[in-house]
Amino acid sequence: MCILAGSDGKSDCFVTVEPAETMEWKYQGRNSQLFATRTDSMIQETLDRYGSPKVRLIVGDFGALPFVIRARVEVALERALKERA
Amino acid sequence: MTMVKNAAGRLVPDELPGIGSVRPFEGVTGVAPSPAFNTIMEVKRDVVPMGTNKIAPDLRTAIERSGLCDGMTISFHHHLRNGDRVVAQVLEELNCMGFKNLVLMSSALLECHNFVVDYIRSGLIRQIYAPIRGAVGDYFQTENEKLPPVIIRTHGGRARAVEEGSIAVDVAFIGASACDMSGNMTGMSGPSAFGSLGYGMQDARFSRHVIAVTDNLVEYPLRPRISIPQYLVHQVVVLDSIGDPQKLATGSVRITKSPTQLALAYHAYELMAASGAICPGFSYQAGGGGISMAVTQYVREYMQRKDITGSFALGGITADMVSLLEEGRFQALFDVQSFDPAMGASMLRNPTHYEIDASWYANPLNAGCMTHQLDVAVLGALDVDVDFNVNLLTGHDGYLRSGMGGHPDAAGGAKLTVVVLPSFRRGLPSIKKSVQTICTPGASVDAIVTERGICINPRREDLLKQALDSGLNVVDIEKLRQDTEALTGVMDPVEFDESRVAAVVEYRDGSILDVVYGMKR
Amino acid sequence: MLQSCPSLGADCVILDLEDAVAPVHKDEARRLVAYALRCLPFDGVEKVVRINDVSTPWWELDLEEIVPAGPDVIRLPKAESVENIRMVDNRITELEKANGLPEGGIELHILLESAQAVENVAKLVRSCKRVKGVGLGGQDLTADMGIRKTSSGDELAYANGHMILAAKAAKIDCFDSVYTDINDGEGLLANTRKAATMGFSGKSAIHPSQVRIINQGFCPPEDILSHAQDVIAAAKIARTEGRGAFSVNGKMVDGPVIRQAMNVLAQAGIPCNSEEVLP
Repeated sequence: MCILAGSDGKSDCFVTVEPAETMEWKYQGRNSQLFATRTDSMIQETLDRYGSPKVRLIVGDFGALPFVIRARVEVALERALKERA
Repeated sequence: MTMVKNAAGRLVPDELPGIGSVRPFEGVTGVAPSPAFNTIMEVKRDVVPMGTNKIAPDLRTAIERSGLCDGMTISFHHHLRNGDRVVAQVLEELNCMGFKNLVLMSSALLECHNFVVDYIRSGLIRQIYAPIRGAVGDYFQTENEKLPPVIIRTHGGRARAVEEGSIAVDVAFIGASACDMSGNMTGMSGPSAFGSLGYGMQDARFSRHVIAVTDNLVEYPLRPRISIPQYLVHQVVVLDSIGDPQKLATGSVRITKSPTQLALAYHAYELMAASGAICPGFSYQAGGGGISMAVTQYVREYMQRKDITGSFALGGITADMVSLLEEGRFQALFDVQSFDPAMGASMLRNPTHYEIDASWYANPLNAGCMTHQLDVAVLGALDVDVDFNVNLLTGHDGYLRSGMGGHPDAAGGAKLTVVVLPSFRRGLPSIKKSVQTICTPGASVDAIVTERGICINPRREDLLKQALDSGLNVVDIEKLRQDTEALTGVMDPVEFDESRVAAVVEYRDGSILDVVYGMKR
Repeated sequence: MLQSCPSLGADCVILDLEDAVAPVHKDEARRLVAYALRCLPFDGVEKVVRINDVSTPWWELDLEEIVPAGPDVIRLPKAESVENIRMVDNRITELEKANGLPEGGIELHILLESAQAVENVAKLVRSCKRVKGVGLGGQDLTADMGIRKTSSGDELAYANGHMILAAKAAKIDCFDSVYTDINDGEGLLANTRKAATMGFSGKSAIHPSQVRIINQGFCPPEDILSHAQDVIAAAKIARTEGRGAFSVNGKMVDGPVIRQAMNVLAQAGIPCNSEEVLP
């Protein structure tokens, strides 16, 4: 079951979460090369906060500020974890 | 080649392969030529015997008759912008004919000219003098081994280079939307009308052989206006199409509807008003970007409220400028490039919508170019730095993305230069510690206006006082940079391949301002 | 636009969790707004969050996430009863305490969206100390009253007047609702001037393009401002000369007129010292 948060709006991002064997993520889209370090550490930190769940998380960036990405990732994880429970 | 540090703090080469020695940028005021003459190159023009029929049956015949040989220089203008089809048709023919090692000069190569890469690879082209982007930019930044670096010039700088002979054009292919059998041509009339022929006019004067390329052969004599007269033109070729003028006004040339950009444009207008620049008889240039056009809208409302008539507007002319002219708000428009196909019609009906060539527009060495007479210039930017330097060429990822146009020329000449841009775009910060590529030096820039406040160059204490007295939101540029970076996060550094010099940025006076390196693949 | 909302020229920005957000997106919007409050540079622009009304399953979650993020104002839609308002007030107080925020620091603005609520406005605005602003939810109110909303706004004239009076009596702000025709700048200006004349403290913009016009509408017109300045100047002189009443530009001036002139100057942002001018 793939959980989705966010949108493809101009300064937004979408986030998808689905169950996986390990914890993995992918940051793709507009700024994925320029902001790789910033975003990787942010996603890592967020996943840790949510108990390092076994999910595959994909962030598709359309030019979002980091707080937007963080908000979307959190909500996607919460929805996914609620779904699982 | 050795690298030397120039007055902008950048390391630049002291010589370029295929070109010879070059001098480093010495500052925005060091423009005097040596000796103190503006020496115009000697031009040898082909003679056309009396009774010659200038109309060539096709492009191939025209090329054969032009005396073009391998290794020579050809030139084009980009007045049709992304709707241009002249370059494509000419290069295709040249390639079929087996030409090699030509030098390609153009006022700009745009995304529609991506195919030029194929002609580099085929050996047709061995050197380029033009602002580059898209596939051509990528080629120079990632693949090029054999061609010399591209010299990217401003419009004024290119005019200067042509006049002094640094570029010597053998054959100019000049697209025209209306042309008669003797070669009188213009871009103002005809189905493919694109407006001013400013860059073509310059090329025509300094080329050995001029071929008019048109899709609209008219009865002699061309009327009602001639932009390039017949005595400079050697041949006329008629094609089915020179391009699509509807693609002229694409890309960077529409007024913005974004509330953020409108807010920022309003701040720029407020700064202009506070400085007293919008006064009777003032002169104005706005870059073609959506934000600059919004600034013009606010300036216009102010001029209407206070019943102010300005002297002239310059550029890069857009439809909103024509409205200002026709309302009597400006006495004249000086148009070197029309950003709207309707400009041709305006030039025909408005006697003071003048068509000017690139040298008249911005050549810093002539007796008086228009940008030196400007009171205010409102210009865009890709990004800027805390020293007020402006980057117009390379994206955050380091790739060539755009051209310089007349930006450094306008900034260099205007009494008040205001650069407008949002503090971040699509999550990327616009103010850096140091721009990747300096195109317009900070010494030419008086203010950088963002939606979060106005940054005033410390050199301009007078402007700062005026802004503060008017209660404007003045902010320190370094603080704004830091605050924005706190919002966007820190970008990863771009990995350049410094063994590859893809292009050099030439300042208006011919000195080298900066270097564009290749990218690691 | 969210990311640049502090730069659009408004005195305060309302981040909406209610009607602008579909039920399925409530959690996303809440989280985004909480982060926006924490991360965007508001620089003195007031941060207002409109939460969902108390009949929904969301209002408490809204407060739980939003209060810790430090808004300046919570806007409560469909405020109907003193009990409801106090319930929200208590919850905010609990959350302020739990998060180390000054108690009572967050203001409450209430929106009246039914005939009953408007009738009770005097009680509602006094229901707790936190209530510092009131406005009408025009669309819902006219729907509740079974009448049409028109561009003149005549149908809500009494409701507005009644509310403004209650707000002034309770010494709180009152806000005019939005002018929906985004393309009609002149209509907006006239509408705003009327709102200012009636005593509204401010007006909501539905689009950033309205902000400048609304600011202009609340600025006293030139002739009114210059008369007010004349009154103040004359009042200063009269005070030093010990005169109680005098005339300015052919009009009689006494205490109340001077106070009105001070209000006009305040609206224009011009400071005025009452001790220098009042008899």
